[in-house]
Amino acid sequence: MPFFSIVSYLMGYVVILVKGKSPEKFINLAFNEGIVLWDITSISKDKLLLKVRLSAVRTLRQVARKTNCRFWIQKRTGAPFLYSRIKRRKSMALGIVIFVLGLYFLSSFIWLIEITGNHYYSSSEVLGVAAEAGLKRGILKNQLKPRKIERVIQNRLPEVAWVGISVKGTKVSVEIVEKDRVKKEKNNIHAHVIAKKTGIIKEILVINGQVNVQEEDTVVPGQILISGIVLPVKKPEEILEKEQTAEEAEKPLYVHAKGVVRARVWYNGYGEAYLKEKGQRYTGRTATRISLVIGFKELKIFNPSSIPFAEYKKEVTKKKLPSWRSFKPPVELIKQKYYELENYECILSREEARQKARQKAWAKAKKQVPEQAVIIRQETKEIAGNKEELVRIRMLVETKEDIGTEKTF
Amino acid sequence: MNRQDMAKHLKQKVSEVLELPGDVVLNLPKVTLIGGVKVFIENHRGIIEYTTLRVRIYTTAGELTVYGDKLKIRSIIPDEICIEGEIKGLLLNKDGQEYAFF
Repeated sequence: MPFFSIVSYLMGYVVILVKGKSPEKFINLAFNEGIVLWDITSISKDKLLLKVRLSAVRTLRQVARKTNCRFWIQKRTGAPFLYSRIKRRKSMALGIVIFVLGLYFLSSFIWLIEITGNHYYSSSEVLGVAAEAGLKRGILKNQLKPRKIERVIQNRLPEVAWVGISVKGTKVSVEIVEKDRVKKEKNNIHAHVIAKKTGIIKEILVINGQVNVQEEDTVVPGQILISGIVLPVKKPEEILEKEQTAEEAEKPLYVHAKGVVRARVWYNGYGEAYLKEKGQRYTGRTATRISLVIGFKELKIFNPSSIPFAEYKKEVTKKKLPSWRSFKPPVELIKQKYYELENYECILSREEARQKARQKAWAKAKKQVPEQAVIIRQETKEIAGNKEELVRIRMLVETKEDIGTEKTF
Repeated sequence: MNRQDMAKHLKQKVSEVLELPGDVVLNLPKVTLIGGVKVFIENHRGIIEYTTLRVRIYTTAGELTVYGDKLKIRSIIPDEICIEGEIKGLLLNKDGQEYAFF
């Protein structure tokens, strides 16, 4: 009866030793008087231990007198006794109260402000605006108006697309999403457009700079396609006329070369497939073993006595309690999961194997092709091998793509 | 048959006809035994003897004795006694006749 024991604790109860010729009479009279007794244990023929509420002790004295018994209080338990003990140590009780109140009081302030998601604005900039809006370290939590602060930040910092303020305990998280901005061109740098791949040039579009290559040219990686050094165009008559300023005219112009250079690029992919395929695959059946490691001892909590699979793959996950400073809790939960494997063998026809090899080759080639590239042609070629049971496929993928990349000089 | 017996007889009849439980109408003890570890006795009239090996309780149906080991009276109130321990037997002594039922 938890209710009964809680009430007993709050009211206080005592363990008493009853001694008398017939303690049974003491019990009978006591409960007839309406006194609740519990946990009665007999020690010997004339001695009993029992528990009784503090409020009933006075009545119990009369009962004892009537039944020729005597009793002694052995142990005092409960809130009233605790209270009197606390009264003796007032300063400690005061300390506890101050601590609890202090904790409560301090937890009603904001102590930490965390800003995430800002790249363009510095954290101190955002903090400054937030402070003006009323979000400062040390303000009361109930004085915080997140919606208003969000609005102010959004108005004051134009590059901010969205602000979210959330309060977690004494910490305020300001989450910022900035607008996607077009990167400002830095025109003062000089750069070439160089090739990053080998290919045959199909189209050239120059925005700035001087073309170095022509259509149908084969280029190798690193080759300058559009030069950032623009040499002055020489006209024969100009040379004659302005000989004195020839030096000046010879001076090349350095620019930030820009342009699109599309070229045909080839990619290779290779795949093979056996006519007779052998391997291992999962059956889908698993077994789990869980053990708890305390210090150096391993306790098996849940484990199949032996792994019921002939062939399997093991996966081990360890879970640890978070460590605190240099203290690492010596408790670890280890979960081992076994996946059953089975051997399989399948026989493919030549055409099926070819299909499979082609798929592999295609996947390999496709992996190298960048996203922006346009595939214009693909070609498969079977490589004749001496091994009869192997089909080998080479795949050639031709794309048209922009191969230019900027390189400063 | 005196008056008291007649009244008792009548009560018994009433409880039979109306299918009322005997412990309510006739103040008979209701003994609930929980797996040899705990026994509740309702409608008791007091303890006659209490040791760790034997508890004798006075009831309207006679004297009820609980045998066992490490017996302990968990609680006692006017309506109910709860005894805990290794209960080995229950014996009802009614007018000199003994009925063992556990």
